[in-house]
Amino acid sequence: MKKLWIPITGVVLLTLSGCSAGSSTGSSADSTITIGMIAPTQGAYAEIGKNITDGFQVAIDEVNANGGVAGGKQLAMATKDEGSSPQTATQAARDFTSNGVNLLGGLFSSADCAGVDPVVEQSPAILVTASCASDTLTGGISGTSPFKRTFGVAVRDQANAQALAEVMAQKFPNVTNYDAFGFDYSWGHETWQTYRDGLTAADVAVQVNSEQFVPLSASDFHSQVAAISGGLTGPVASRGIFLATFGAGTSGFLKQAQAYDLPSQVALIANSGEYYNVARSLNGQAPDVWNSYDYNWAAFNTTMNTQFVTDYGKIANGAKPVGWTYQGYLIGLSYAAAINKAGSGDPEAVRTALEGVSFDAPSGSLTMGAASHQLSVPSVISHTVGDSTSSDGVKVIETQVVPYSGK
Amino acid sequence: MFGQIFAALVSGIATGMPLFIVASGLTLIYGVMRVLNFAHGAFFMIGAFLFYNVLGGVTGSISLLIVGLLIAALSVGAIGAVSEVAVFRRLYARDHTTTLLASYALLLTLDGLVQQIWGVSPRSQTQLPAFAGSFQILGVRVATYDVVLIGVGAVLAIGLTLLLQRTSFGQTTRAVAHDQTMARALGLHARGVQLAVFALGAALAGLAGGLISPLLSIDPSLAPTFVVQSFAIVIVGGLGSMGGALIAALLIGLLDSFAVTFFPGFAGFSLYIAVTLVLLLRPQGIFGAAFASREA
Repeated sequence: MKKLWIPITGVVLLTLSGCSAGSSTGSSADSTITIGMIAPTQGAYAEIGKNITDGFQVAIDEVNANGGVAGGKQLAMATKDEGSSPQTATQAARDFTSNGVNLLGGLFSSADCAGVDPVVEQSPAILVTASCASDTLTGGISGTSPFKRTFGVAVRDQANAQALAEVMAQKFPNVTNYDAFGFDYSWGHETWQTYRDGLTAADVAVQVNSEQFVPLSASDFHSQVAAISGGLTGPVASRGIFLATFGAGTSGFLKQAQAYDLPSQVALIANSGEYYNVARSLNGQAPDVWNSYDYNWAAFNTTMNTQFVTDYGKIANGAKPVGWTYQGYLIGLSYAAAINKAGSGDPEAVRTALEGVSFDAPSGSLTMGAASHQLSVPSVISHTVGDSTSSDGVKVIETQVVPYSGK
Repeated sequence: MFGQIFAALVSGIATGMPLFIVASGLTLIYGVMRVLNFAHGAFFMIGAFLFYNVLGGVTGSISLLIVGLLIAALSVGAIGAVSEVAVFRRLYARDHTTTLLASYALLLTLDGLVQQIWGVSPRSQTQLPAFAGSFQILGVRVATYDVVLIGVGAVLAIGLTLLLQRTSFGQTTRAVAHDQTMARALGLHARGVQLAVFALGAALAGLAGGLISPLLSIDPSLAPTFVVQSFAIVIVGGLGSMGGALIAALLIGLLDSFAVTFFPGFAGFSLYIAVTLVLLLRPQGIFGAAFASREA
């Protein structure tokens, strides 16, 4: 017994692994306005962080190439690691503000935002968040933000799930027997609940065969996939699987589901959350999936979207931008529009300017809610399948834009 | 009901055997050196990345699969050997806490190196067509690759047991594990044995990484995922016991599978329930101290 504390301590330490940080700081000169981006640069979510900062970099490069902001000033980016805990993210925000960088952006995790937002509220800084899409952070689309100094560019989690439910109810009205698989925290449960409620509201008689929720860090889903496979009921045309997952969770589930031939046993696999990067990582083997998130590169036939896709491709070896890239890009555009409106990079002036500011984006004109502090980004429903002949390994079969509903 | 039980049984074994493959190297290293190696997760991750690199993401044939696995295992075994010489050998005389922290530092270092070498984007290894898909037994769908993993796990379990019980290397290893000082006094090359065992344990992690990679997203988050479960297996099975690790892996796989099927609310923490029960009822684990005493 005496020695057993060692492995137990080990498990705790392993659980905490990834809590490392790296940093770089930026400085403001008269001709430059520096925005401090906080995003994961190491560990499990480093790819997400890179997408966010790359998207932001594309935005400020475009803005600077077009003459800059507020009479010719250039935008610059400084970065700090969000880490994998609110403490690390909060420290990054404090480091920025103590170094005089008071225009902040980024953040992937709503939990981290919940830690950082109150700190920013007590500081001279303002924050435009990337992927923090919980209602509690923005007050919802039509509500009032609980934080005066925080703004968000991501589509609300529940808005994405609701949009997916509405479209799936139209396209698959006969899919009624659902199995749900999701991450075992509030986002996973609420997303599934919203999707199910949305189907019911659209007169789909939903029958729930099983609900499987797994820890965010899990990657072995043998038992869950086998249980879903063994518990399928009704004809294939009536069966659907809903995934409230993202990243490695979605990827691992789909790979293990393919080992059980699960995709061929259901009529629909629906997923709410960033998915394109997962489909791309599956080497052309991705199954047929319907997804709802903030962006798909093929969804918008606008000059600005073409420019965004092209400019991102230049720094990403031709890869297409994903939802997280788009969120970083929108942070850049939001700040550029607000600084132009304010006429300076003064945080208080920019904060006031952000409220109600409108600007052109790849999806059309967007407005930052004056009270909600929520950008009016539409949801994008994407229907994709793996395609080994495509440069990304993904074939976009269909996209549908669900306009911002205002709630 | 029979169908559900049979399906849970098959799924449980299919869940447990990959866990055993990962845990086998961990328990081997602990059994001989008394090192609880947190870097085992990094060895597993590097094995997956190397396997992907060798095959370029596409598993074209069985021979290529075997070549990829061998390269992954041997390369990670070499990294393990370097780690033993550069880090752990200097710390065997210290207390467990020191080696524990050193292995954690090694985990973070290797994790950082993986990000520098392979970047942060996830990768995917396609399945060999012969091992893709599933078939049905008594109305229960079974993944073909699960059968492969169960077979490989069984071969590994038998092979490692024979290696440790029936060979001169095994005899020497057990002697070093039992009493290093006495082994040295008898003229056995203890340091060589420790180096070989550490390399073998690491190679098993690399082999596991390659074997399991077609079922996972290959990215820097891989390091801690299977290792948490592997540590639980080592605790339940008994520190250093290879047979215990096999039994514990299968038990934990079955517990998880039956919980998911019949008590989904318990599925998320069934692993920890098992660990807690074992710590309360049999703190030394099911086959605790077996390697050092009975097996020796």
